[in-house]
Amino acid sequence: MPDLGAHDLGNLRSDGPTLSATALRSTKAGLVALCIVSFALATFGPWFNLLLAYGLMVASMAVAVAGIWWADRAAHETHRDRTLTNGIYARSGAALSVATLLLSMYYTGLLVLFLVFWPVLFVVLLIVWTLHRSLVDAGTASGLRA
Amino acid sequence: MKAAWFVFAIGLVVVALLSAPGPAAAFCVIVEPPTPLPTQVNGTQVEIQLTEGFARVVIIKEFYNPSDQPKQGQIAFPLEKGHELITDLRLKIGNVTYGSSTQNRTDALNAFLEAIAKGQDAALVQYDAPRDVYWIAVTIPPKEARTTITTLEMPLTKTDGFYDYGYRLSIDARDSVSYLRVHVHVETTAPLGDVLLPGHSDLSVVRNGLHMADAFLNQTRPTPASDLQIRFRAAGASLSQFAEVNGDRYVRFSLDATDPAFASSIRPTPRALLILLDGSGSMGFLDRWALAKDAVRRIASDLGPGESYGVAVFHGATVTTFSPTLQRWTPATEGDLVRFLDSFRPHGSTGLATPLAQADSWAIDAREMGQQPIVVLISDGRPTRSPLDPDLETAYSRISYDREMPIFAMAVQPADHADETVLHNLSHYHGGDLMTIFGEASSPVADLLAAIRVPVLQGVQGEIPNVANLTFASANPQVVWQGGEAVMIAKMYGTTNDSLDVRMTWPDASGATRALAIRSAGPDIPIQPLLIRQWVLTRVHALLEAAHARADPGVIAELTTLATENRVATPYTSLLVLLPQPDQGGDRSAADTSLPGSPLFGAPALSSPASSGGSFVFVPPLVAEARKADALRRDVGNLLVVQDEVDRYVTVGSPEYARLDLSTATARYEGTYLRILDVGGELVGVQRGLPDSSQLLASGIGFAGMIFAVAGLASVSRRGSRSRRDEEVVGPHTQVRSVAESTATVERTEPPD
Repeated sequence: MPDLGAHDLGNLRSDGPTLSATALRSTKAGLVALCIVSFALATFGPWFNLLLAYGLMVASMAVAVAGIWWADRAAHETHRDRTLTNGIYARSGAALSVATLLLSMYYTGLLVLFLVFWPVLFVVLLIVWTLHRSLVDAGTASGLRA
Repeated sequence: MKAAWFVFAIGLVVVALLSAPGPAAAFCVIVEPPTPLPTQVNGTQVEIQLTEGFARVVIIKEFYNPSDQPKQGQIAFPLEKGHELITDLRLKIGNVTYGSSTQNRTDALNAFLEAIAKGQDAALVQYDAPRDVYWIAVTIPPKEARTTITTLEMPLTKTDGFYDYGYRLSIDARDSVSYLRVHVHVETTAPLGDVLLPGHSDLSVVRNGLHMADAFLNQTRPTPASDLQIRFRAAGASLSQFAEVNGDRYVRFSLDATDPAFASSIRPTPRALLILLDGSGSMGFLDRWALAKDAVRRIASDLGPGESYGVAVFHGATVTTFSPTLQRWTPATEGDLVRFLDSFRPHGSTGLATPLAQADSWAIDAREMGQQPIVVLISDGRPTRSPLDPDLETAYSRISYDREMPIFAMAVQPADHADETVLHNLSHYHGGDLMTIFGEASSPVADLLAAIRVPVLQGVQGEIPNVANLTFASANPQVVWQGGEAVMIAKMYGTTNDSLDVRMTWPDASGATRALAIRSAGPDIPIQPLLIRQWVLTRVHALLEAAHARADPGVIAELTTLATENRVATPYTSLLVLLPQPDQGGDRSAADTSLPGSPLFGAPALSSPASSGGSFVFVPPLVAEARKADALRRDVGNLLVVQDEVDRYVTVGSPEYARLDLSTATARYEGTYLRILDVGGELVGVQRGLPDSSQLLASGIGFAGMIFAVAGLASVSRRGSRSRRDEEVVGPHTQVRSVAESTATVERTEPPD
């Protein structure tokens, strides 16, 4: 007698691609970054502490960068593996992380610093982009060899 | 042009010195900015001459400029009001001594500035009202010494049978590099009694006959020492005289309050203690209120039959009295007094002049009852609203002068020395004294009660019949206080050979007039050369007291004339020394232009204002927020707010704010979100920009963002766990298939190499 339940489940799984855990992680990172920035904003008032606020902003920027990194990785993973899907999570993670990063940079003054020193930033971004491409290409090549 | 700038700078500094308020410095100190080679005092020599009711002190100080630049020194003399006055200044350069002239204050200052503009050396003694000091401005060329010879003179009042004089020796000992010499000479007309030097038991007093004594201090390496206090007394009645060649004759006659002639008439006047208790916010801290209440209870319970008291608690513009009229102390009323004091919670601003109207009314009542009104002000000593010094002191001077009423003060746990000084100035210069309460009230209250002296004899009238042009410098009639003396200082026409009739009358206890008459042959009366100065100083002090209390133009004119004629530096007259102009031609101006590093009178060097270009400076929002938070914390942490000294708060734009008369307001605190105004007899806190909308918005967004993020995290976590469950349920074979499919997909999608 066939195992109907197992068959059904197997069909269920095979009906759609698997949700990428990296994409989920990206969204979580974006939300955590947003939570940290929001906490920093909530301390505005007589109890505001500059050191704590800067610490929170730096932490949120770090988490947001990680969120963007994971969103990017999730995008490439799904590109290589059609059984995986990102749903809305990779995009939302990236969006949340970028928004949080901009907010943190604005409050810490880094945004204005980058606007003033945009040529330096441009060069850094080019280097990062190049490194990123080479990493992606290396990943694709290793995937093909496997 | 450079000389003009130099003169302009000097003018600015002088004006700044005369207008900038500041704490009184120590006695005779050099004021100059920090410098590696400060002006030094090589040595100090002090000659102190004391006699009945009078002291003359000559201070010879040798200043030396060890630097390579000219120095303009300012020597500050914070003289005690009602006591010493500077009566001569001489400047010694090498072996030449230059004397001073007396001019009215404005003329002397103008002459001084003009002399400096011409490159002439000069020295000036002037009263600096805001700082309450007399200062001497003197120039010292590099590597040269200048010696100032300053004479201070003052009348001495007999207290508890002793004349008392204090010299701040510790300052001289601290400053003098090479030597410190002090010579004290006491010479009395009546036989000299005890001569005491409390605190200097190592100094021996050398007696020289019945009327003289000397003490010497000679240190080649001065070490810090305590101040010099000299107490002496003369036995019995004292009569002395002095005559000038122009025909003016001066006579002094004094009779101790304990003299047998007064014995049957002496009757201490019952006390009326007018207790003014500060109930402002600051009194609620450091246990001050409990100590103050204890002090009030102890003071009141000291009163005896026939004496009375009143208690007024003041805070803000409110004065609350225990009873509208003076009342007698009975043990039965103690409970009521305690309940009255317990009913207050200290709050509101401190206006130390607020209860004076009530004190004035009580003083009149006390006089009508034949009592001596005595104000006892109990406070922590920090007035937070107008009037502040010097107007506050004038208000107390006026009531003390008008009602012949001593003012005592108790400082309850004062926060700092400045607060204590406020109360010291209100009491010490108005016939009273200051006691400070630290920890417990019983001992300071006992000291206060022991320090209170009351009149023992009123209406003592001096007469010198059969003389021409008689003028009394002392009050006539006068009041004799406990431990004091009846004294007559008179000027008349005559010679020392003329016989003298002195008659003193007073009412005895029954109201009958009693009299004491003394007839002396002129040659029998001892000569006292200081008598002329004593007459002048006594007269000047009486006029100064009247001018300080009432500022009557007639009194001021008389004072100015008398002080100018007799070479006395007062708030209205100055002493000026002008040295002959050196033959330096244009070199002087050139030298003077090198002075920016050592500005005149030690004032800070003027610096050119920084560039005020409109360069944009970006402030990160977090830093801006930190500044706002700091400003808010600063406003909230302001001492007036913390100590509950603000009577009420209003918000900008509110109807209460619109009702404030801002034209008469004085700002006591200017913050970012809070101003505290002294207006309408109260301290009003004006709030502005609160609540800060940008802060509220940021906080709101922050809280909303946190809620959104937490909710999102919960949702995503749920989705993630469901996904993992799905994967676990599907099983390993599916996983394998998936991987296989994945591989196939990759193979399908990627082009072959």
